[in-house]
Amino acid sequence: MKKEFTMLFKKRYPYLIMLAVLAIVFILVGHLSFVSDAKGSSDSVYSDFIDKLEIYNTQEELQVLYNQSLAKLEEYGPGGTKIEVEGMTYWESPPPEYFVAIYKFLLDNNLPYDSLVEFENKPKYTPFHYFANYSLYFGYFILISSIIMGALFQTTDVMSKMAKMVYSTGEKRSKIIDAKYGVSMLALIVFTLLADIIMSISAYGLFANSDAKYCIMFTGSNLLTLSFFEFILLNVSSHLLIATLIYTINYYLSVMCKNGIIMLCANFSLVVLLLIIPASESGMFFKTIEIAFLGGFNSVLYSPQYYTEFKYLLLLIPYALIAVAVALISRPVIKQIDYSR
Amino acid sequence: MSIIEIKNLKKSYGKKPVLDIEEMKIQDGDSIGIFGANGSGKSTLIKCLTGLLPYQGSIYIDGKDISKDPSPLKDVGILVEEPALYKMLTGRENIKYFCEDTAKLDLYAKILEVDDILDMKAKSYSLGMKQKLGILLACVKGKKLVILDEPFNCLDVISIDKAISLITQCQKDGASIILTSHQLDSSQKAVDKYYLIKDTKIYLCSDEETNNQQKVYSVEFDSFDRASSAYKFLQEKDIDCELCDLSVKIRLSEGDIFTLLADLEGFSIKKFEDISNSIKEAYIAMEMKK
Repeated sequence: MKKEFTMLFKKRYPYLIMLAVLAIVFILVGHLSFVSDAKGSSDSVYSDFIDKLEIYNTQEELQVLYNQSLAKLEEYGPGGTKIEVEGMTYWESPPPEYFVAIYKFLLDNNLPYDSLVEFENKPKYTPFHYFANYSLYFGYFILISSIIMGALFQTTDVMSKMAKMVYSTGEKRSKIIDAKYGVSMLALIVFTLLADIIMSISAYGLFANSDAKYCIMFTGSNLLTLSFFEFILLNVSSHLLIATLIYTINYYLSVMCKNGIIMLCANFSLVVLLLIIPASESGMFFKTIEIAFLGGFNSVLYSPQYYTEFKYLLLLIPYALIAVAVALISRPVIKQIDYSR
Repeated sequence: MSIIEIKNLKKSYGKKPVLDIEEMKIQDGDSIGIFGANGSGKSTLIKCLTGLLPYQGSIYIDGKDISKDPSPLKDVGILVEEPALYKMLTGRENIKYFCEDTAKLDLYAKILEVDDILDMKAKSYSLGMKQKLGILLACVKGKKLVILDEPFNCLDVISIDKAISLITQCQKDGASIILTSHQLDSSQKAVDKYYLIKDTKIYLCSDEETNNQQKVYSVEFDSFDRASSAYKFLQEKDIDCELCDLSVKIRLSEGDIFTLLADLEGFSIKKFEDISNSIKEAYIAMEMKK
């Protein structure tokens, strides 16, 4: 493994340069799409859900609103009413439990009406927004680089006919393949962590004067209140999860196929398919893939069209199991591969 | 002691059997050639020996079954078909990547006369340079065994001589050599013994184990006319022969040659030679045998 790592930069540096350039491009796109709006305006800040909150001036008024929302929850039950528009599923209004949770949060923390800011995937003026915007574009980079690297890192030796040297060195094949996996996975993780750390520092530095303290995520029945640090951790873990799962599956499938190009085509076909199939028709199977491919469990937790629960994070478990299964199945297959051509 | 021992080796490509070798042993320090027609299984055997191809049966290198423990391959240098080099690395870096011990690198590079290209990136090598680097890499890595599959491809005559010198040096330094090639005359200089592969089987060829009882002789005459006349004479006597410029190649049993030579005395024989041990002759004889 040490030899693999030391030679990573000598043999593979064109790929590393390409990945670095790609990462910078995605980060730049994220940054340039960010419209700095330090002053902001009330109208642009609020959106549909926030608009549905009743205005209150005192805590007593807020208490009344809270009691009313509790009564509505008892009347309509959890979930409220759904409507279908152009293949997408929307809540006709935020569900009753949303109002109960929000009003309770405002009561418990003694917050005024205008303390909440609608969190959309559009640039605003807080470090949360800046980092989330970067995180979205960087998530695309992780997706693409995990697919490309996973498909090509080991199979490049096969396609360039170096395999006959690499696999006759006296080491067991599985050991060589696992060493390559370890080195490349580590490189991807380090790369991801570095980018996330740099961007979180940038976000905090650019908007140090922001008075946004928490990101509040409504998960259907729970309110998740995250500080900026916790928000970073959530995004970082999401990035690492995507990178690990997608890379592992692609890497070991490519090893078994002996052809990275086939894996690239299969992956990108799947991504295109996910973009074409409407979310409402995609079903649970595709939903889990969407979750992994389109930003990890960030989108599960705060994207309105998902409006989902923590429990849907469990859908990632099969994904993890697939990664483990592919790695295990590759063992007997590797022994039978012809590496002489 | 055997450096290589093969037992019940079977290999097929789909339904087509390619190798069926019951037993084969190569002794430590031997230099052997493996020859055969195109598609006879030479490269397949080499690929099985180097762990690149799955197979049925057992192959032991230095006493270890390489399908279970490939560690003996660490001291085996190989060149299988085209040389495989990382293009972004220099020749020297390629060798250092694959070889733990490069103590003999400079000496071997001098013998092969490639010391001036060692520090060039492999992507700038011509075909001949790549081939020489491949041979050098195999020889440096192969402390115990050097396996060369078609090493003389793309080499000029002088480079082939240099390569043979290097192979000979490797053997002197304690490595066993296995070589396959279609260039039989050159290979003859590099190996002590040879095997022939035909119809999935492998045969060791030596004075006692030639494929048939017949010997091959070359009789040279002092002019083309005399050679031509002698050839016609032999044909009339129904003797298996072949006219090659000033020589006639004759195939017949050892006991009959002296009688024949007496008959040919009037044709002014310039030179007579027993070429039965020639790999080329054995190869041709095997291919012609039905």
